[in-house]
Amino acid sequence: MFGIRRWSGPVRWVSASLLCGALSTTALAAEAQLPWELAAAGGSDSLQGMLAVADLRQLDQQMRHLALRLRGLPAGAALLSPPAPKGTGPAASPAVADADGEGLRALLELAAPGGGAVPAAALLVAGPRGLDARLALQVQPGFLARCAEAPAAAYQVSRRVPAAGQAAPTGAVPLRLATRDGSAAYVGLLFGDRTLVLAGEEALLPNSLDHRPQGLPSARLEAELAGSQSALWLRGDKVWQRACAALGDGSLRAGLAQMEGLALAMRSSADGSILLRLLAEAPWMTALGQALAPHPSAADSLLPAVPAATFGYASCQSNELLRRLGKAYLAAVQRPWQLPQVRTYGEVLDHATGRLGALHFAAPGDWAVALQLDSPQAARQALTLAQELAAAALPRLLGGAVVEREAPACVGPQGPVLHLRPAQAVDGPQLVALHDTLWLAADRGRLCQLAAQAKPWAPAMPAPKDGVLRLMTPLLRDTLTADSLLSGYAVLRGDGAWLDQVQWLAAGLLAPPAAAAPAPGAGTQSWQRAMPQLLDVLAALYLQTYDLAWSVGLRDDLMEVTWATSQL
Amino acid sequence: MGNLAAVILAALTLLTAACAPTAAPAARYHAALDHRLAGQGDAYYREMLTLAAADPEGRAGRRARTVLQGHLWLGDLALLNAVTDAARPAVAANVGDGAGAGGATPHRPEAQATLAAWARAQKAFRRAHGRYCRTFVECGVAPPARAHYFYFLSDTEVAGGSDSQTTVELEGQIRELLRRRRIHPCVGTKAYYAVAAGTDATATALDVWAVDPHGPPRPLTPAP
Repeated sequence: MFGIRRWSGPVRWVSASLLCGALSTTALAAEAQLPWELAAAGGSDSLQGMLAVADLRQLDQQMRHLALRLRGLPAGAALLSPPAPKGTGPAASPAVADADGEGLRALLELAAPGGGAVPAAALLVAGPRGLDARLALQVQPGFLARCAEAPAAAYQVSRRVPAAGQAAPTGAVPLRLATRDGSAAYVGLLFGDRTLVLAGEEALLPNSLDHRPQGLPSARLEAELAGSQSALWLRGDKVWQRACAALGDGSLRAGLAQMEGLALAMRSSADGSILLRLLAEAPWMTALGQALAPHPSAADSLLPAVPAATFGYASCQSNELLRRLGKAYLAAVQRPWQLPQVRTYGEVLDHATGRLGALHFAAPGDWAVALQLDSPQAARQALTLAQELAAAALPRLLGGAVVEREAPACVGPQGPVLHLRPAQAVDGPQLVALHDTLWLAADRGRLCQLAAQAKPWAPAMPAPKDGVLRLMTPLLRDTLTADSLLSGYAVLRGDGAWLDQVQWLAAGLLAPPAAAAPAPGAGTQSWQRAMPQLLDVLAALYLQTYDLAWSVGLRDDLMEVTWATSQL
Repeated sequence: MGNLAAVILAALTLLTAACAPTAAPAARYHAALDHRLAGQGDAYYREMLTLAAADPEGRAGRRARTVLQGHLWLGDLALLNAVTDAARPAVAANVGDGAGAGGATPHRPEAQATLAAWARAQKAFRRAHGRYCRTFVECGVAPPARAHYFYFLSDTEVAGGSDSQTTVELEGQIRELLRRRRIHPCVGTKAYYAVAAGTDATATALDVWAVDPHGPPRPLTPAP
């Protein structure tokens, strides 16, 4: 179906959807709503986790397209097609493989005829035998009538008589779903002609659907996850703590065990961008936020000054902890460097309330670093003190280094430039105060470009849309402009050849010792066969990915890690 | 009427020719990937270079630029790894460890690098032709001019060893070792197994390395 000349199509699709099932060919619901009310099918005590999907039909379409497109890639076909038994001819054809999800699609058509959305949830429930799973679907009214009128469906749906000694919950219709070939059978309950709950056996079905468990997930998490297309939520409870016990007695285990809730959410957009968010609720986050006072997370006020030519950027919100570390470092080097007025340097650090950022550009060795202070006066004072610091320390650190105070025309009245020359007549990094920010650039050309577009920015101003944000898709732009403690952006580098190194590293780590190595020509493990194809697919994905943005935010007892990528 | 239609048709043809857009940058990027998949490395780089020059500030052009630049951090790590590998013999010699004791030998980087290059060439060849190449000439990879090791793609396709003072005798020893240990270098349609063998720095033991499609070059244990 797909030849070499169709490579760009499959690659585009794979790259847009491999990670999380995002698919540019599928129309996206503008206001996706996760069906948290289906948590009622889990029970307040036993519910341990939930995978909520705003539209299971859309997810199924995405997965089908993913499988078809992957089979269009040589590596993907080899990865997905099951090996044919010896002497039975070729492996399963795409047409055969495409029939895999026929039963699910028939069920979805019964749940919502005409291609309507089917909100669904897979519920992880603690039972007497450990963890069990249930599937809950929101169906459109008339489900039973449609089942009776759909003789060609892959599933045969019939009313079920409850087992001896058990009665169906009030208002629920017991059902039995079985494939027509008898290969699989499920029991279910239809509540109010609206909610269908399926399980492997009757004992796993809920007794009622009257009340949604309060706080599962918390209202805070639910509000944070609004707009996601799917989300996996895990409850910080006994089961979670038992799982953490396997980590030993370290502080990591203690921190994870206190987690009240954990969620991984996904959202995609029609332009091929994917947004992943990991949210964690834990009481100790509040203490961490207090240590990072006064602003653990804030909008990146350095962004308007980041040029469009930036290929990589990372920034950190300045906070009390960083300032203390800076002062402690200066105190430690004061004696060996014979620095004067260390107390004054500490006072300058008190004004560093903005962002600390690092940028790199397209050309090798082209970089810049920025420290944002609370006022232009503080920035100029910092430049003066930096000159003293450099004059005292640089010659000791680099023999022959020279610090010169220059006034290039491109900077104009914005102040002098400190030229940190590693030796006489050798150009080096240059430091300047532009408005409220101290910039250190690799060379004069970069410094002049930064000075040309430097402009003051205040939090009340609208979010910037030019500069480095100009070429970003909305999901990445939102990631970078959201309140954050740390944030970053990069145009991906290279062609993914490093995946070869990963493959070799993994093969070296997982291979048996040389003494036990199989003879040449002997059989190989399945992972050894699959790894090259998987990595080829990942290389295709990497080549199609244009950029990525990430951020780490802290709000009260909630930590959020966001990761977004976009494709070409 | 017919003349009018012809004029309109000609005008439309001219207009569409004049207004026909050049390939979109993203499409050109995909075309470059087409070339890469087809094993046409020169066309792949030509397309990427053209794109990087024609659309330097667009998304596709910027991605083309980063593709052409290669990896920053991993490239640095690879360089560090190479420097470490190169320095290891000198360190081992100074601390009295390694050579002749079954540890790292000065010539091992040659065997590793050559087999790794061979593996890369095989991967590229298979992408282009659907099979593995069977000779050094077909693959376009040759051992170093003054190779310390012998390289076996099969029992008959052998190269290297030109630095040895006793080439014929050493090759005989290696063949005997491979026979005794039932090591059979070979190239098939779906797999290959290439072997490098030579003497370590003190010329007291044979050092044997192998590579196949499933991993990096690895040493085979000394003969019992």
